[in-house]
Amino acid sequence: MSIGQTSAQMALRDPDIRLMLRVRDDDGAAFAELVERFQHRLVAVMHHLVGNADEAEDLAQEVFLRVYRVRKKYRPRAKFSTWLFTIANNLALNALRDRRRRPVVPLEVRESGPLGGTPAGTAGPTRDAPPAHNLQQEELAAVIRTALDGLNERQRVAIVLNKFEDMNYADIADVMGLTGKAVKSLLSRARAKLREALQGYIYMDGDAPPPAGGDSDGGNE
Amino acid sequence: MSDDARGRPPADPPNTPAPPAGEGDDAPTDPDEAELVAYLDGELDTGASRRVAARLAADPVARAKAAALKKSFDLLDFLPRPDPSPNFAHRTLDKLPAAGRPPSVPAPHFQAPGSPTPAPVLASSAPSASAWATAGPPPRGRGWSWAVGGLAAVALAVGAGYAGHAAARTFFFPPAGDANLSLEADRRVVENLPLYAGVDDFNYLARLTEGETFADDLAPPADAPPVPPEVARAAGESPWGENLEPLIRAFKALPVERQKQVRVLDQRLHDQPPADRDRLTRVLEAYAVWLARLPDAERAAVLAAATPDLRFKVVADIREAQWQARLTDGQRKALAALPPAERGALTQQWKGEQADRKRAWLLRRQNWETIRADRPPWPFDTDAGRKGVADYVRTTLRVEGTASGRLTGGEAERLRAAQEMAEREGEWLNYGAAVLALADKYPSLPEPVGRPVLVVADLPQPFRARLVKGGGERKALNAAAGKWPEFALAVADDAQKAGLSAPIPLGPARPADFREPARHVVEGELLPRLGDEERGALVSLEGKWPAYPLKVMELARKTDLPVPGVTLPGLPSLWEKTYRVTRPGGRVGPS
Repeated sequence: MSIGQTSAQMALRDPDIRLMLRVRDDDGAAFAELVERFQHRLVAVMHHLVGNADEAEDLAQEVFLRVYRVRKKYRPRAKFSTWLFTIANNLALNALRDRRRRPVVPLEVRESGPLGGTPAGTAGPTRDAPPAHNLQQEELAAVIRTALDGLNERQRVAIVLNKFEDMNYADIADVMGLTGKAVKSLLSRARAKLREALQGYIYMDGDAPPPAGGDSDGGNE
Repeated sequence: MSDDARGRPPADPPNTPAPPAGEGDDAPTDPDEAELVAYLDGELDTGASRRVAARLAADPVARAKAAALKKSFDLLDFLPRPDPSPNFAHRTLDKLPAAGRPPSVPAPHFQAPGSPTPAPVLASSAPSASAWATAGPPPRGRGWSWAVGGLAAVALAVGAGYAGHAAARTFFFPPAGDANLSLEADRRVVENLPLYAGVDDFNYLARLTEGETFADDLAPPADAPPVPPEVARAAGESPWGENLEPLIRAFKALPVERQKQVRVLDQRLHDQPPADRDRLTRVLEAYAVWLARLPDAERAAVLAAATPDLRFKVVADIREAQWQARLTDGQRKALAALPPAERGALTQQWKGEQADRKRAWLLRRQNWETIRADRPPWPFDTDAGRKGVADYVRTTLRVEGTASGRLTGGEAERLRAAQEMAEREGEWLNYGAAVLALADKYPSLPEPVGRPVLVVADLPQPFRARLVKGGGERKALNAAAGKWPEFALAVADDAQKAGLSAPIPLGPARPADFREPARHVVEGELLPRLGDEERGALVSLEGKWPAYPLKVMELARKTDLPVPGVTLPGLPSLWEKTYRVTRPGGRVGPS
């Protein structure tokens, strides 16, 4: 089967592939549409990965520009979104590793309190942080953010794609260049870490906690 | 395998290292746990899935671990869902080499029906956007401007960008314009314009507070009211700084009718009692933020709907689609595996679970100071308080089995479990909320001094025979048998329907007939608190049951007076404050 036939068949199934094929053919309007169509997902995923809005937008922008630069080499062999997130994965991992090599001021790290975190509003309303902004629910988000930051880069990517992009293991494997089995292990360890980090927050609705001894954990790294 | 063969792009720029594709940089995995996670994610084949299911059925430790894995993963839903800034697409396209830049308007746009040229939706390409760009975004972190990152864009889109959209124009901009407005009189309206942009009128706003719409999008603490612009201004900080100009122009561009409508909306909002106005303002903020973050086409669909009803329908549809889009793969598979007729029940169950989690969190947040202080919440912070609740549960709810128990088996079981968790793990908030929910569901009335009417045999003949023969509600009588006040209320109801008059009192209808200590409290505390009118209304009901005790309980609630043996121990207002979850949309009941 020729590549052309494959492309045609895949393009029939996936409108995003049709769009990307137009981008490949230098249709500028198609690229604008592509950015419009994927900007929300891409920025959201990047934000979940790096935890910073500006950096997330910079990375998402770089993903789009890279798509544009390599458009001529595009061959539709998978879902378009898988291809797109493969680029995103490369860039995000590089950025995260770069950050690890050059530590900066930690992002939104909060100290632990009785529930595992200090509420954002502890200090009371101020001019810089007025009451409406002082939402204590931000505290929970901060704890979860910290838990996410506690995963290593690849675990974080796998979790974010699984959770926020609803990707199955096969697609995650494709994006990350791993086998399905490796993704299964990666996600298992990531989920175990999240469970450990968030265990103080998961029994708020009256359910019984795990019985003692039920927490033996092989998932730590 | 090469990048190209995998369909992945070559590294570019060349110095970008590819991520390692190896699998060995993580520690060994617990195979059981990996199977469990894969099972939860719907990733196992049928055989493996059955094996895990069997293990879960047989092993409580594995079950608890699975629950913890699922819940910790679900918690990620609490992370904010960031959206790109409004000009993200524009900035990205601007970075393309000039030759590759799209020839048309570079910003995302929406094709107006019947319009030969695209009508820009985002303020960034609307005429007034240049002023907006000059003015810059409203300062974040001041007043309520945290909510308005994209709101001005919406207001401006409505004010100018949508001028090209026929349907929106018909609704928001009938073809007259009036620039004659008094800025001083309209200043508050103008400052709030971003909040009013997608709202027809006060009735539409009221609908936004209902059910699953915007009431629970943003749920700040009850004691942190929003800071309206006029207050911020009084404090010397306009949320817009000196940048009101674009908003003024947008308001001036509105036709007289719409200006009037917005003024009425603003006036009605500010005529509300402060607490109501605050929560409505929060709903407006949540709605406006949501609207601003919608993809352009969906926002256009909301704003262009021809009537408030249609607009609300579009909003509800988009909300539902957003909820569906957040389902995990596993949930989608579970749904797909069900016959279509049964999917609704499962989604309702999930929504219920989600709501439960949210309520539990809101309750915690509401009582944050107590949690921080690491002490039990009122009234469980004293032995007397705990005993009072235990007495109420035992003697008023009568949770202990037997025929007089008022709760269903499931309710009694859940309450016992909550109590155990409270005593063992300090989860008093959940227990208190559970007790309050049951007190709501099973209100009581003062008991008589002697034995209350509890079963059919307590009723004299021939009334009993006539009631049983004539009433079609025997089921209700049987279900209520043995329970105070349910049985007596069922008899009163049946007698009224059958046109009968009870030959004996079904319950006490004068303070002197109330069993102690309710009698003492009603005579000694409630009656002295009443004004002449209320006392007169109460006296006129003496001898009438259940009208008299119902009125007594209404007045006790109104005067924040607990009636021992009947209501929860302690001030009703404290129960409300501690255990009634509040949201911007209003009270939603105990967690």
